[in-house]
Amino acid sequence: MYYNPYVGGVRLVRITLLLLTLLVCGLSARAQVDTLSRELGVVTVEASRQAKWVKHTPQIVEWVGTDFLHRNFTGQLAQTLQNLPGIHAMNIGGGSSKFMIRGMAFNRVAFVSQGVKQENQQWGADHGLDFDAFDAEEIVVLKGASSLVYGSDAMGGVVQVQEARLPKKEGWQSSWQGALNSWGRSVDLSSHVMYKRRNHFASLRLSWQDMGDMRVPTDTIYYLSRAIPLDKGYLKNTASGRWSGHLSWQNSWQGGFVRLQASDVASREGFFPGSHGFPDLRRLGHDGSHRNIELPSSRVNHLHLSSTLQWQRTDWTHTLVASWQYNHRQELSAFHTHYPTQEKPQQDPDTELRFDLYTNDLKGQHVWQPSTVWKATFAWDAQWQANRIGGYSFLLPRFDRLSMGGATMLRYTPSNEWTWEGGLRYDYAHLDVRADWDPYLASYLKDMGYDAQEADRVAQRSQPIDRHWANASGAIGLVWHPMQEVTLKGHLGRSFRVPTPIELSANGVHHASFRHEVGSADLKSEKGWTADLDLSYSSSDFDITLAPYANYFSHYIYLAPMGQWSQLPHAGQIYRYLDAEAVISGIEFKAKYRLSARWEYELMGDYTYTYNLTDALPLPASPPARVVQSISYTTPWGSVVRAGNRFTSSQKRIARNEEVTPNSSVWEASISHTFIWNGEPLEVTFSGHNLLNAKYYNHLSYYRKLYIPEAGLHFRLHFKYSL
Amino acid sequence: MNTTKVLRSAKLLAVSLVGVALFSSCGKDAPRDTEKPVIKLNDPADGEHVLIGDDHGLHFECELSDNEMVDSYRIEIHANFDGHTHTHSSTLRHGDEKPFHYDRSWKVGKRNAHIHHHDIVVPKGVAEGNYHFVIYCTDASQNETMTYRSIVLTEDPNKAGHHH
Repeated sequence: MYYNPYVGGVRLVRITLLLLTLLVCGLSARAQVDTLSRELGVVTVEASRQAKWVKHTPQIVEWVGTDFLHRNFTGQLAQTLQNLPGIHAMNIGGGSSKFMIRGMAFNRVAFVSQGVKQENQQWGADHGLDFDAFDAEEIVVLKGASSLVYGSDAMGGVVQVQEARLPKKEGWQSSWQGALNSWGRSVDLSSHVMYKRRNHFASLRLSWQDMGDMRVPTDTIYYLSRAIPLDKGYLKNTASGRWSGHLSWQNSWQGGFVRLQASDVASREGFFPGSHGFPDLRRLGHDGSHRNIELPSSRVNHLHLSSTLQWQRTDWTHTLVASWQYNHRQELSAFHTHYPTQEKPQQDPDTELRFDLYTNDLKGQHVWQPSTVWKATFAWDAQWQANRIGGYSFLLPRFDRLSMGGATMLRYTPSNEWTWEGGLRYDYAHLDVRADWDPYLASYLKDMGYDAQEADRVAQRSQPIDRHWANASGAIGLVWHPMQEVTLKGHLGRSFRVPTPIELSANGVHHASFRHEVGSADLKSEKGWTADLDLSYSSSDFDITLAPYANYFSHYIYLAPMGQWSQLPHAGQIYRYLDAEAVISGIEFKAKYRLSARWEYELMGDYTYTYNLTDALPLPASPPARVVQSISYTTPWGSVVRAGNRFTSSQKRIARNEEVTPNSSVWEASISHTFIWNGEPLEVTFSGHNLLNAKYYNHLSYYRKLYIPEAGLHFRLHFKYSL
Repeated sequence: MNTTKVLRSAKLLAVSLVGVALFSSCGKDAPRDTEKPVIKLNDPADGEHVLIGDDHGLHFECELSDNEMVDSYRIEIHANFDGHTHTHSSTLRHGDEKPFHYDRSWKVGKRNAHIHHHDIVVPKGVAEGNYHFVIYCTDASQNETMTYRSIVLTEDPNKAGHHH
């Protein structure tokens, strides 16, 4: 009979907080650095503890630790995690990327840091994750509907950055990390300084990234049926740069702690001029530098402040989180590439779009655990959000939103063989959208010959909307261990997502989709049923997992072409956000075979099927099937040598106005070693990617429409030195 | 005891796979068309000079084809003056001339269409310079194609291309 300290029907943030509480109480000893000792395949306390947790939680999860994150470091979390089953990266070359989990992305996948969902205009395919990739030491990915814990925007799953573990030692400590990447000739550096003294812990991380123009293995790309030459394969103006900082202070006591955090990520990213408006060959010529960022470009600053308080009393553990986020985003594009005949605005003449998004979150969780058999959780959260806009163009209106939700979850563990978990949640959201009239568009249309009344009507970019939605969601799940080696998990859940303001009231050309998007003010919430299973067998030399899933949506929002021509400059037909019945299902497979003490073979495969029942077509951005395999060898002196292949099948199941993408096979190899320098560990990984310099496309890339391929042969070096 | 459990797990797995397969096949009507129409733009050609104020109209000729049916095409002509070097609108105008703008669509309704007309008239008094001639085309299932040519509007009849 084992005592499982991780039993609970709670979601992973709560488990993490519980873990930290246990740590503070001195119940466990943790390694400061999560390194995998390779001598004779011995795994440290850390990884085995996590493996045990993954096995017993009813959630279907992927857990990723520092070893994986360092080995696969790219500067972009989504690209780092993309070889995990069910997780794809929607990238903009090497600059930015976002997650897709089991075929769902944007506002259907929540990214959680500092205990709350990140709110940063995640609806845009050309917007990245405003997060410092170095700042994640441990990530948990919840796959499948997670509305029960996070409410709206977690239908596809959640990527949670776990709070950093406190070091074991007292006093000053630091770690210094860096990465070099020949794709984009980028440099990433990060320093993390920590101080621990009795009950106090403070840490500061500062990171910097600089990347030059990306280079691709082709000298011609195609857009609008035209061949566009690339000078030596360089994508002009795709350089980017980023600064970020994260300050944290924590004070713990018996059964509780308080933690204050502040983080800021400031980035600038250039966009390939060919992807904004009409590619004028004069604008695509080399501008003399591969590191400058000219127009069009984006500038984003994401500031996040939060405080977390936890305390225990008798069988209760209470946690409160208060958070404030400010996302400031500017999309810069020369005024005259849009409105060549008008006078430039006096202020910020080249600011095409500006969004200021303010989000306040307040959440609480109250866990009652009288024994190892029963655990009840009561959780509530409230969010106030305000979006203010500026710029000479228009995409998304000014809005204010209030969302609130409350949930109850119960976990029952009658024996070490079974765990049952269930929960119900109720959410309410209220959205207030303001009307917006566009004087530049009105003037442009009048210049074109529209009569004044018609021009004014078309220039009324958004109508006022005042709506509210109420949604009930819930899930039941179980974990069953018929034998010690076998774990069966099953879930049935109902999830929802409130329409985003862009889906309700957009009216403008969205560069991310190259389309004139129009919202529908009367959209209902997305609603779906999910069923998933996770079947795994684990022994001393063999692990295998099979995870099928199926989602049925009675309401699913997607962008559909309308066949009517837009009146806006540089826009084709109008696309509207519509409601459809849809199905997303698939299967994931993972196997690990320890051939000997030194050799290990890993295989991963995933397949996703999407279908829009209303339109008799697949859903847009349907991820292709993949098979990823790797073999690793641990040398007698402790280095790990790996070689792997990722085969992505072709994607012929497309929605209208997407491209069919051919299959691809990409090879990579790496070598990792932990040196000892001045008595402290220095981890180094050197890797080569796309070893055969294959020219291939990512079906989910922002640049797919322009036939811009992914990176050719490139090398990466990552190091981490801990003091 | 163990065998029963393994059999139960195997049954669960089989059921779930069948479930996924069922989901995949339910509701399958004939898939909607995702093949885009094809535009073969013969005239104007890239770099062609077009006479301002020509009564004959711009010579436009193209072939549109689709696997189902071409629904509509639209022609848009807009200025492509070198925007990033000009900072004030008055430098884009020669005296009082405004840049030319044209935006008009036509219905087609055929699988293959050969379009040839001179309906696009560039009136006198518009600014000379570089322009984009853009053609968009949609089919019956809203699949869209577009292409464009760089043209030059000029007042000099000697530079302008031949018309017929």
